[in-house]
Amino acid sequence: MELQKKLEILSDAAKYDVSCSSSGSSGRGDGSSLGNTKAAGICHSWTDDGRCVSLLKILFTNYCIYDCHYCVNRASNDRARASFTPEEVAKLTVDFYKRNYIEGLFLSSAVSRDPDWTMERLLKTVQLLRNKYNYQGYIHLKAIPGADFKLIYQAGLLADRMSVNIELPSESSLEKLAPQKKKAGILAPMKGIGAGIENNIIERKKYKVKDKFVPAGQSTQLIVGASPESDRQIISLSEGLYDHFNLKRVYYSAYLPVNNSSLLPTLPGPPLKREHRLYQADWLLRFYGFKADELLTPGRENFDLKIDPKADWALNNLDKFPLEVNTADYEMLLRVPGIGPRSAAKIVKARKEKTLTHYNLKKMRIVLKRANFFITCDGKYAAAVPFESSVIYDRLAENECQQLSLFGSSSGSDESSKSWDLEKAE
Amino acid sequence: MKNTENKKVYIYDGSYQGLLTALYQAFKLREVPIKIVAQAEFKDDLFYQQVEVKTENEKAQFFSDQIKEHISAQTLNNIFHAYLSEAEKMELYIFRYLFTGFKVGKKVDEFLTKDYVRQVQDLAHKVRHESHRLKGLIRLQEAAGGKYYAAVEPDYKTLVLMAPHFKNRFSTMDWIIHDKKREEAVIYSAAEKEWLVIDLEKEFEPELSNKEKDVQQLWQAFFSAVSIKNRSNPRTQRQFMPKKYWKHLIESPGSSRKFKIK
Ligand code: SF4
Repeated sequence: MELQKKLEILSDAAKYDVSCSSSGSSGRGDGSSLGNTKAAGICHSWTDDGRCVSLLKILFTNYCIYDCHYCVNRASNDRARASFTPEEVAKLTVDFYKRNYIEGLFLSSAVSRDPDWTMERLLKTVQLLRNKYNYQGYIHLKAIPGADFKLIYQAGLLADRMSVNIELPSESSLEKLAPQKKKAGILAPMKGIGAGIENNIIERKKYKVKDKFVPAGQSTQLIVGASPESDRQIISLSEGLYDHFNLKRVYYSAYLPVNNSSLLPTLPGPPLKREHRLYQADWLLRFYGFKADELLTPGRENFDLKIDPKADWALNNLDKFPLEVNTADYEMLLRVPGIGPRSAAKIVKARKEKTLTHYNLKKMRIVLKRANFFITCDGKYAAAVPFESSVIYDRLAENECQQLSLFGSSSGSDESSKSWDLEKAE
Repeated sequence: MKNTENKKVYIYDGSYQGLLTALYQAFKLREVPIKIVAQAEFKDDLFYQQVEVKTENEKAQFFSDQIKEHISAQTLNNIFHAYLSEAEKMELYIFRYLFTGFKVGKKVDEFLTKDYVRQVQDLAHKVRHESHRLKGLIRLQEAAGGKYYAAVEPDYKTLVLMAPHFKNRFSTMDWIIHDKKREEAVIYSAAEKEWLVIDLEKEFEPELSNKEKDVQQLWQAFFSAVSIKNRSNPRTQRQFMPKKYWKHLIESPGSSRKFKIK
């Protein structure tokens, strides 16, 4: 088959994978080889649907021996199939990289023949890139579940980031929709990579070992909406992954109906709104000191789609508010809807000099639109509505509605704009 | 500092060193020039006294150190980047920004109610923004002989801001990035590990290597394959990748829409 045809098939097959981030520098690039990795990811182009193109994102092969119900590449699907050779992928990456088309390679794969065979091919590809082509650009590599961990480990010494996709948030769903992927086959390599990263950091410090193992961290992806798990189950799982497996990022992907299977739900469209709420909650877990069981509790299984998880939490804990900004500690300030780490730090600093009023906060460029409902300044409450849960709820929901309509009307949300409001979500 | 009767126009050679020399002179002589302009932009002016400033690197360096020491490194960055904007009256905004800067120190960047402070910051921001954007959008092509070549037509004089980035990234390649608007280019040699700016006429176009078209075709194929066809979003696409930059891209944005069935 012609190379171009392969590229078309295998990039098309990979495009729905969301974890395109190339953040996290590994500090490669020493001047004697091709390329480096930049801390802040660079976008090289934007697709016609408005997503950032940063990496050459392809599957090594889409011939698959497995038959996962939610996947376009499942064995029983009738579709165009192709496989690269390691040399083809390495050459393509270098050719694109040298022309400044891309920041690096994101190589994933279906499971062709058996997991070891597939993982060997992926390993061979990164070996060619690093050793033959002297390529020091970014590489994100999928680890194939069920492959010998020795192969995965070797690949980890050459890649910047690795990921194993959990895909389904529970063992029973996995059993039902992806019967051949055993849970052990997914969690074992994740655990191994997590431990490898930790040991490597210690070794590098202690013994000045030079080899870096997965220096940009490991990530995973969960499909949202293909199986019945609640948001509460999903974020508890994420929390566990961050705490125990050293994960850098968990990505959530709204299930896009691609197959007809009686086991899959019929949805009007991909649950993008829900995906967005999960990303916001994930943010709260990682940067705001929230615990999963504070955000959702038994009985309250899913996030409110009308207001964000932080506002939702605040309204469910209204007894802790309104908060006096002049005395509250930093951790509590961070929990006020509309106040992020920067604003909280500014407040803590400024109040040492004087007692802060609403006017002062405004002058410090702290946006009070949402925060106003939850704070007092020197004893004064300045929101123009009574301090009542249902009233505030309506205001916040209205507010959010307006904000959303500011984004493009042509399509709901897309990954690039999504990750943008994430950065800003406070 | 007093406004003297005979108002002066300072004329410098257009270089950054030249501008710094002119600014140095104004501060040193306690003069407030009515205009500071690059030689190439200067139109004869009968009403004002013309002062031609000779560029002196030592003075420029000294003045630059003074700014860093008495105001801040941030301010020095801002004026360099604002200079690269080549915007009209940029020199005077810089002059007044520095004038306040020498009085109040690094706090000058908080004087946002002052028009000239905002102007300098905005211009600097625009320049940095374009430079960042172009780091992604520049497309190199392999020329016959193995060197790489890219053409750009940036709004601002951003080549020098981008050069260090490309030096790091493509340190083992020989390359040229050609600003066709300003008829200049950054040229980098892998052997010397150094880059410099040269003059290069607009018409310059190298002959491409044999395999170049094949690689370009593969990139085009990839670009259209990764677009999700029924989620067309030209607005976001253009917001991040304005049309003015499309000319020198290899891919053709919007091409997947042409075949869309409504
Ligand atoms: S193993 Fe991967 S590629 Fe194969 S069917 Fe399952 S999800 Fe799809």
